Amino acid sequence: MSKKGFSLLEIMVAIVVFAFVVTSAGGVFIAVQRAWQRQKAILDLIQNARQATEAMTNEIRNGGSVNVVSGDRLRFQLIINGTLQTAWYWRGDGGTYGSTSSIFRGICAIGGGLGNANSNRQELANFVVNNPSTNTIFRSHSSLPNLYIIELTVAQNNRSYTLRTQVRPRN
Amino acid sequence: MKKGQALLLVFFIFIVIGIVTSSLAVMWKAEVNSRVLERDSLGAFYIAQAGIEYAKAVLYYHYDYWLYWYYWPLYYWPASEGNANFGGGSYTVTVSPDFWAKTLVSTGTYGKATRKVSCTLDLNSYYYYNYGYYVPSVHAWSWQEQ
Repeated sequence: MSKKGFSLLEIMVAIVVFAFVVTSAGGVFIAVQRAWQRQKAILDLIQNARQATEAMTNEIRNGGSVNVVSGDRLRFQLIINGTLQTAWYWRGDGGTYGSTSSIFRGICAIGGGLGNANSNRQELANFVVNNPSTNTIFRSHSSLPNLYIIELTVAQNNRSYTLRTQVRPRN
Repeated sequence: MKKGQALLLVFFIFIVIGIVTSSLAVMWKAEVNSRVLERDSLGAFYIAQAGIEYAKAVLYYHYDYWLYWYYWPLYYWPASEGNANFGGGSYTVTVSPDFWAKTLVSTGTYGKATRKVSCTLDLNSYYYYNYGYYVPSVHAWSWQEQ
């Protein structure tokens, strides 16, 4: 048998092996890229929930006269620039009060309603969904007065993340 | 090329590929574990904060209940309080016996993570009028993570 060049069999084996390696490497690359995108989405969710929870607890802690108007709406009083004002947190209703996937914050004059706050609203969080526990976002503690529980779930691409805490207004 | 050299070369390539693949796998697993820990850690942090807030509410509740100066709110910490399951995790709170400035330490646990936060409640600086008495406000300061 001549030693010049490669036989057809050798070339075919080389091609098959090469194709196998390239396919495997490509598969691994795609899997890693998808996993990285999933992780990034989860990080975005975590950041989102964290920012909203931090903002709400800090403000409520410095506020007073907290009232859970309904499970997804909370009203309290807060001194802003030396003036006592009413602050609202609420989840949108899909209509006038914004998207159901968002939590909003609005400030209005003391005693002002949600409509007043809505005209001056800012978004605190998005990707908001119903809590898997079926608990509402805001609720009062079952036995202690003046203690409020916040439970916020955000979700995207079949991934969800829930943060829970409780807060006592200053006075 | 001598007989056997090609086989050795193939073995060498396979070993290199194996080492690279296993390294990537180990790194990836560590990354995933780190992400899970980060996620649980944030949950644990807010559960620990919830413990602090709970302690403040309990201490103040006991003041409102007794309403006498010698039951000042932060003086009394009932032995039955301090541990609770909360939001899929749990917290444990301890309260120092000091009278004027109590230190609250709360340990929150969620999933694989544990976080501990503390704060001091100041009795000297903040007073307000309530039910005919000047009482210390439950004002937390010096929040820190331990």
